[in-house]
Amino acid sequence: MSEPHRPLAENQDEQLYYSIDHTGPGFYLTAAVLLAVLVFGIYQYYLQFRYGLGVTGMNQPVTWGFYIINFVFFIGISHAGTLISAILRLNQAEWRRPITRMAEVITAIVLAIGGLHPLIDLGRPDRMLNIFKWGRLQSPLLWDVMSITAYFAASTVYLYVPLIPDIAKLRDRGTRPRWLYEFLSWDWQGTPRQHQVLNRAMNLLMILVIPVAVSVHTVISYIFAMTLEAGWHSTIFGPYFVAGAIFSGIACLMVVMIVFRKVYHLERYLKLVHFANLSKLLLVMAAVWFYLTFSEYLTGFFGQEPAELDVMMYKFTGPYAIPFWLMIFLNFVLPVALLSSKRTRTIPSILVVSIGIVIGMWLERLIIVVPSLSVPYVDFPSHPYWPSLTEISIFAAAISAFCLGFMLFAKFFPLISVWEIQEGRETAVKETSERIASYLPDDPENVSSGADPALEGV
Amino acid sequence: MAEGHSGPGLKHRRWGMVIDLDRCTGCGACVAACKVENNVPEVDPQEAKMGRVMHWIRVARKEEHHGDRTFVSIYPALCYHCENAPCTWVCPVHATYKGIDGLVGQTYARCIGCRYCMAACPYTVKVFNWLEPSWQETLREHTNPDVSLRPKGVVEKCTFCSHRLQKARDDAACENRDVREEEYQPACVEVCPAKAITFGDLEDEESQVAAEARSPRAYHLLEELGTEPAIQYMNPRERRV
Amino acid sequence: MFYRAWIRGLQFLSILFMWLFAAAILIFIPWLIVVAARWNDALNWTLAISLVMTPVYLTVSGTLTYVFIGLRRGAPKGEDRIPKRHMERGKLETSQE
Repeated sequence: MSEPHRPLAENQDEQLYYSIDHTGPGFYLTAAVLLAVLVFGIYQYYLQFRYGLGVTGMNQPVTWGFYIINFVFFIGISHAGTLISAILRLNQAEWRRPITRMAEVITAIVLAIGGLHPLIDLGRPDRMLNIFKWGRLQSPLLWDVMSITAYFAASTVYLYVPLIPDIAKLRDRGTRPRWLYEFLSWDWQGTPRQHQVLNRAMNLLMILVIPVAVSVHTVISYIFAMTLEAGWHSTIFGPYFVAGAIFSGIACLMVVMIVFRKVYHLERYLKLVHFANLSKLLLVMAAVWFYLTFSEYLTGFFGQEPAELDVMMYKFTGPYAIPFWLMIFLNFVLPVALLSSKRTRTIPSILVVSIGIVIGMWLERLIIVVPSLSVPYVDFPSHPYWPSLTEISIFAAAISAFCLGFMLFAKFFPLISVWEIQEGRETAVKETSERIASYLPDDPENVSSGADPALEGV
Repeated sequence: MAEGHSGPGLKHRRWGMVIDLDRCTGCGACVAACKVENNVPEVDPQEAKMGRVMHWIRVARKEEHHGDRTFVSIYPALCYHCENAPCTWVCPVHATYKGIDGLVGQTYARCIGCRYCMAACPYTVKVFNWLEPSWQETLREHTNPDVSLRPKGVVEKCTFCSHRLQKARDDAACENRDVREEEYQPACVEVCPAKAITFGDLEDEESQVAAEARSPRAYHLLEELGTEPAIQYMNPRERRV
Repeated sequence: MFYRAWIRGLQFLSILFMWLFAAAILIFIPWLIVVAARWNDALNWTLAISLVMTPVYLTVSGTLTYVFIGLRRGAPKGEDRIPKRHMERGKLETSQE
């Protein structure tokens, strides 16, 4: 246990409390603009509630548009939290320490926003309780309800539990509102027993949250894959969506990290090495995404089924050619071009690539949802889909809600896990050296004794 | 309301159609009759142009290009009341379901308007009330009292005029007998001037519809999907240009 | 002190809320099974998915309860559990991680 007085350590990390302590005019201005966009979106939803879904651009046969696209998009971004936090923690990757908090916050906010979108899409939202009164578990939409609620519960708990020691620090610093930090810190004093409880809980959650997260986006893909529509009824959809979600999640995380690094002066903590490691992950996911996309289209093309071909040509050379090829460029060509070599892997270029990927993955969702609906099996007069002002403003409102949620979080809690950084300084260096030493070959003396030190305690 | 049962005492039937494309002229009488019989709402011209026309049955047009010749065929497209209906698999609230005598039902009161069934139907036969439904004044005064008016935000589709079936079943139950095939037919069947649609019990081997269904000219639309529709079309004997 | 009671109250409410959520799920899932049985519609799907989802929710609620109770129990006994209010910024008087 550390000694009672460690002012040096605390002062070292004062910067991490900057977002809580300082609220400047920039904050209020940004918040005001975002709030205005949010309110306008809510007003547009009120119009939709009053007049019906006719205020959108949806029609027959394109019965799903922006709302479902954005639903898939936002839930996809939620995979940022899981991958970084859980998998990196499981792997004991030390570079995760400044990143986990932001990743977990992204997940919590984006799940709430994304989970709201199917309700926004309903023609009769006043009857949404019917899902609970008369639900059918055969329907992939119900699988979604179960899965997203479970993930939201798990990831909120997974955000909160590692937050507790930081809340205790804020409580002890005397940050206002006092009652909030005392309430949420649950008497955390850093005793060994409490550490044990926290570690156990985090270990359990870390393992539980991964299959739940994988199930979430798989189940969302099943909404499409379980129908017979051309372009949707494909077995690759489960892995495709999960890979795409992790891909877009990491990209969004990088954007968030770069923005907050600049705004709250966290350059000392979020160093180039963290971004470099994440971009290598991003590059891997770009390759995986491209591989899965390629498999999907090659299989469809080779079989030459008329319905599949119609949908594919609609995407390759038809009305959706521009979004399609833009998506390929943003999701694969640009990341590979800019992130492969160390010289071009700078923070500005990473920002550009990440924003490009977020846009590219949104385009991917557009390209999955609309063309298959626009080109039905049977002869049906074709009607293009254009989003209306309502749909666009609700999308803008969702993005504002995300930014506002983040800003609000940063006002009350540190964006970087203070206690984990301090743990990293104090104990992790020694632990990691010991761990690496255990991988290396043993000294001859130990071998002759018959005991293998690496297996001790197993 | 268990699936597939006809209720106490009444013989289970599988209502179906065979539509002879040699006879269909594309006149659209079936479309008009269906609209009037089922209180299908009208739609503004701008809405219609956008693609929000509400037709429970429509005259579909298929063009096939072979070299410099184009074959055009017209056929009435309506809900096929599939035995294996994809729309019933995906509905989250049991608003569309496989019901009595093989009809695929639609419960307007329970539908939450998620439109999943519309996305899942491979035949694109379901329509949606995008706005509050409206009718011209005179038509509004003459709505069919046997068919409920739908609110905005719910899905609707052809029901094989199930209200007529319900009436026939009630009469039959009162008189302690089975529904006779001739006493129930949907409005489109009744009104077709070319008698292109044959309607009846597909499981009754002696009925006319079952006989026509056995014809070598008869086929199911999108048979390869395995939906087993209750409607078959009969190919024209000659290809028309 | 009324302040401490208020904090304790909020903490108790948050555990209650979380278990209300778990209880709602535990009522909802069997209800779906009842509905599926009543309509004879996809009973096998319903049972299978229920069997999978119920443990997940219970585990999440259980973990959070374990954390809350464990932290309360693990806190130093006999001393002032909630540190004094007049703490200067940056200086600590209690042991911290």
